[in-house]
Amino acid sequence: MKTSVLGYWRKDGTIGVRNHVAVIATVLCSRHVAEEIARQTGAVAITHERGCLELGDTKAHTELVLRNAIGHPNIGAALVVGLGCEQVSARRLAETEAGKPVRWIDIRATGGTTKAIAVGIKLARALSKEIEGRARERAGLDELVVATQCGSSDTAAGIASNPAVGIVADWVVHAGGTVILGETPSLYGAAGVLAERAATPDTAARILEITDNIERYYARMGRSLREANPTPGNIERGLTTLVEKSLGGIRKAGTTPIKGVVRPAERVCGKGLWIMDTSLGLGTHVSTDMLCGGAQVMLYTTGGGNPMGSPLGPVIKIAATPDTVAAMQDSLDFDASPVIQGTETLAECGERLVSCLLDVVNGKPTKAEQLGSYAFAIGTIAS
Amino acid sequence: MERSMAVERAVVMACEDNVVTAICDLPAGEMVRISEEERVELRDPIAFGHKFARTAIPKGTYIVKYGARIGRATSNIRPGEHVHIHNVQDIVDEVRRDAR
Repeated sequence: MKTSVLGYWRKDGTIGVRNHVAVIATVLCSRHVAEEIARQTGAVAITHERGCLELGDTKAHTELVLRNAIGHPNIGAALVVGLGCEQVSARRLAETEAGKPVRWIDIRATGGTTKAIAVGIKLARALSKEIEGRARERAGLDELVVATQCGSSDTAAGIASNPAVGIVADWVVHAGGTVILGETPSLYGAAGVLAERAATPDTAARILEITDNIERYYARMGRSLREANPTPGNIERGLTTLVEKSLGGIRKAGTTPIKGVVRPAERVCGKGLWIMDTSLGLGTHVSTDMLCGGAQVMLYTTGGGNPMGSPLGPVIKIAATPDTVAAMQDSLDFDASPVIQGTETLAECGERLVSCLLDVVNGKPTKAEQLGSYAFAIGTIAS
Repeated sequence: MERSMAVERAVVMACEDNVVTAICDLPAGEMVRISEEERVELRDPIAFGHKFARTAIPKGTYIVKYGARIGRATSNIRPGEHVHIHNVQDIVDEVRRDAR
């Protein structure tokens, strides 16, 4: 097994596994301009529906996500595109020291949509020139930060894909790296089991607190998390209770102690296994938060098959359900179905997944990267 | 919980579990091999990913999977019967209360 990876060292001491120019919209209003600049220059577009008319924790979260997207180790340089009147100022974001080339434009001050696209293309091309040709350098496995997520969960995910990810999670932690578990609503039914694995009493209390926050948020509306979870799709595929779904989901986190809990999109600074409270976030909101937390790569198990990647980094799609593997071949990166079919042990599957992870970290494109299937979205915070 | 290389049609996640998960579509009447010495005859057809009772599960007792309780039986469940939302209630509140 390899003991190092190849990546791009950043000034803040992190290591990137991709070297993208990102064109980042501050607000929905600048989305078209940002996407057009990215499309014409080969940069990745980071666009979303937030950035204005927001309050409290949700407003602060949007700004944190965008700041951490610019600072992300996989982003070599960034162009921030604003309209000019929104809450999240392009100038403020760009002027925060990120240790990498960052430029900004406002559409209004630049003279409208067409001019902003033209100016933005020039800036993005110049940024691309600044960072192109950089060679990958050797880095220890302890520099790896690996996020874990599941989507369209089914029983096979709980039996094969998630335990295989758990084997990789333990391997990463034992190699000195960092693993992030999140999806707060899905942790809900396993909060007690997770609290018992906390490294400190404070962390145990935080695990219960973040899941309580979700329930309290719904209770204020006279609703309950349980009304929507497990989903009809989960139930159809054999998941009976929220507790069962949660216990299957947390197998992604392996068996090591939980070092701490961070806020949504907060940079994880310690080693070992961490929980990120992804609050009310679903699907892409969670991927976005976890990658903004500093993960260079994500392991994403999917029962039914989910094709979405992220502009911030490679998302490795893992499925174990034979029908899903057959139907979604062009969108999945790893087939865990041999475990279900009885032709491979979990340990063998986990070892194969470690190799797959290292290949992707070292530059092998994922299916979503080949297809350019990227999604970025910023969630709402329960407060 | 490590399974052998032999092709199994259903899987027990932990030795104390009282349910078994089908890993292919299984017809009613099938005699399913759980281990060398353990067999369960299915009373219902069990779809891929769904669970059936490994032993008799009396009404009001826990459904156990992954070595942990995942729900409570709302009726007497016989070995080989489909175990799902029609005969199980969630115990999420109970589990969270006990965690404190």
